[in-house]
Amino acid sequence: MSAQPTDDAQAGLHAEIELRRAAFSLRAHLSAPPGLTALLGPSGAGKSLTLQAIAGLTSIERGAVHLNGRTLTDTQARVALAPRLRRVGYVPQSYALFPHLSVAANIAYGLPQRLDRSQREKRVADLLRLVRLPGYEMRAPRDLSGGEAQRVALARALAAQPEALLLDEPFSALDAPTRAAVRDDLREIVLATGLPTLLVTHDLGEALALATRLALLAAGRVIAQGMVAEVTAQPATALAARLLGWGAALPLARVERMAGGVCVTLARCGQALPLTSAECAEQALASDAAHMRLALRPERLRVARLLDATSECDGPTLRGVLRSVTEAGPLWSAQVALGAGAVADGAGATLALPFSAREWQTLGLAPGDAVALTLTPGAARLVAADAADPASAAEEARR
Amino acid sequence: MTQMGALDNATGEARGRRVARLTRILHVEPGALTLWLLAALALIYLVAPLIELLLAEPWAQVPAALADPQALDAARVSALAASITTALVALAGIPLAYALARWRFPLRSLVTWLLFVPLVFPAVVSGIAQLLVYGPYGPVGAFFAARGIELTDSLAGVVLAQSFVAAPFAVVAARSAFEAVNPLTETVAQTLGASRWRIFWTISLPQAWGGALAGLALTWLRAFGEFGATTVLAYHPYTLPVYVYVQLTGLGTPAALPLALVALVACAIVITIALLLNRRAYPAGTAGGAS
Repeated sequence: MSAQPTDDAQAGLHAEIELRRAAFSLRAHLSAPPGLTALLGPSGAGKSLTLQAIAGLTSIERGAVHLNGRTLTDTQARVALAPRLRRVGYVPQSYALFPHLSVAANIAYGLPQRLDRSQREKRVADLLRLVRLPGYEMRAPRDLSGGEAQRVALARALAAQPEALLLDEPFSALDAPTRAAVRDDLREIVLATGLPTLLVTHDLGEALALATRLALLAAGRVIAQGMVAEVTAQPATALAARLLGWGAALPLARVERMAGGVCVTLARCGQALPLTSAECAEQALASDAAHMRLALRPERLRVARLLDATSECDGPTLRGVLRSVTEAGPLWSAQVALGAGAVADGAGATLALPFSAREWQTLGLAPGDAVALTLTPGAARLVAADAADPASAAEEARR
Repeated sequence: MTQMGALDNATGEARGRRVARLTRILHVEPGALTLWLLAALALIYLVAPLIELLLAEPWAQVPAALADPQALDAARVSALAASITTALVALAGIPLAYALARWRFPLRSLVTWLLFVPLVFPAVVSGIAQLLVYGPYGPVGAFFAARGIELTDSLAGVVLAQSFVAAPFAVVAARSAFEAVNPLTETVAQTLGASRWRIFWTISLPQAWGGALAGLALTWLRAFGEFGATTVLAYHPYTLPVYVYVQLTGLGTPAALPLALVALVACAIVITIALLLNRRAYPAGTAGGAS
């Protein structure tokens, strides 16, 4: 199931939250239509706090949260539903199963109280089948593996018939091999429920593998959100680019407007590159070169050996010199200094390029070789520098 | 000087060798050995009077002493009052423990501090303080006295004296037990639609029950043995400790010893029950949980 088009603007979860905790301020505006939305951000960005605010577990100073047209909280209308009335399923990072209750009793805890015994037993059995743990009724939480505990917590949340699900770092309590095995299961179970689901994670790979929508949270602000492919392809700032796995954000000396786009000149190595307007973030174009960066996705750069530094290349190309290569498991990382000759030896920018071992062997490169990095579609993007970026401050000072 | 130093070194080395040999035999390091010895000393100190009590016990006179109706009455008063005290403490003390563990309210640390006062106050002083409140001329005592209920020198007085001195044991233990409950389990229960009342009864209390019960057992024991405050507030009806004291001052040790045995047996039973309850509440591996 993919995220439904927002023909019904009210469907799903819509949150506009403002709150302060000591020196930290959170101002998040985000939506989760039915389907999986990942809330991605580094630790300390306010991801868990956002979930708690939506679930009503922490109070907000300003804003509103709506779920399928229902108001959960609205500071202007002075509405703040108690957590137990919100019908928002919450699965914390550690799952927090009730240690004194059996798996069945854990799940039955959220069932409507009016059900009789046989109805409860049937619902528990159904939910255990849904999370692929049939027959686990009488187990104790302490006898469950991490993956099993996670699914019991999910079944418990679903038993209360929530209208949305909040999953806080669902995989952080699991070891790496379990994580991969459990991920697809969780995705299928959650998508089968058809509920708007907000999944908090700090792991880009996890977000990409699970979610159809992505909201990017950094330092208490949502800096991008939308469909996953859209968000990852179009970062507006250097910070967003970094969080979305873009490899580098290089400072620029000059940006010239031309028909259909811009021509950027890299600081230090002085190489120029044309970019189409589709490759420029609007937010970046609004400022001057000192506040712009060239973000690159190294895995989308085509690498070739140059016989000499002056050879011609076709297509927009950066030149550089291979400095070193690090072998790290299945992926090798090559360090390329941008520029040619003396520039490449000096303080020029360096790019780390990932290669598979096989790819590396076909290239036959050695340190010291001159290389051409040709941009393929989606490899480069003009983005805004971060406000607190020390590089832009330094650049400023140099003027 | 140098000779003396050499001599010291020699004896020091000899002693070192002896310690080394001893620790080799016992398979422990010297530091651990010291700790073991200190622990053994504490145990001996605690157990010696009990053993001596059993050795000195005039066993032949025990049946007669137990048949003494006054002694039986005193034991009954002690047990009954201690049970009422424990029930009252459970009723009000456990909610207090929960509040102290979970809620942030003004003067919370002052309340916590006050909780320890009865533990360290001389019991006689506690009795005097209570007398000012519950005595016939105290604010509460006068109210009840006007309605024909004596709060001093009555079973009510015994319960009042015991409750003041014994309640902190249950409250402190239950508070620790509530603090050990993962607050996230309560949080999640909220999102599952449970009210605060239901969460307390189905999530918080069941997880803290073992610790709370152990605390209540201590409260019962402390109440059963209460002497100081009771002598001030309710000398009559005699509780077992007061009766033992009366016998001791009137007739000497031989008369008091059989009664002491009764107290010992009663306490042994309750301690055993408390330990069993505690073991059932915390079976091995519970702490691991699913988190």
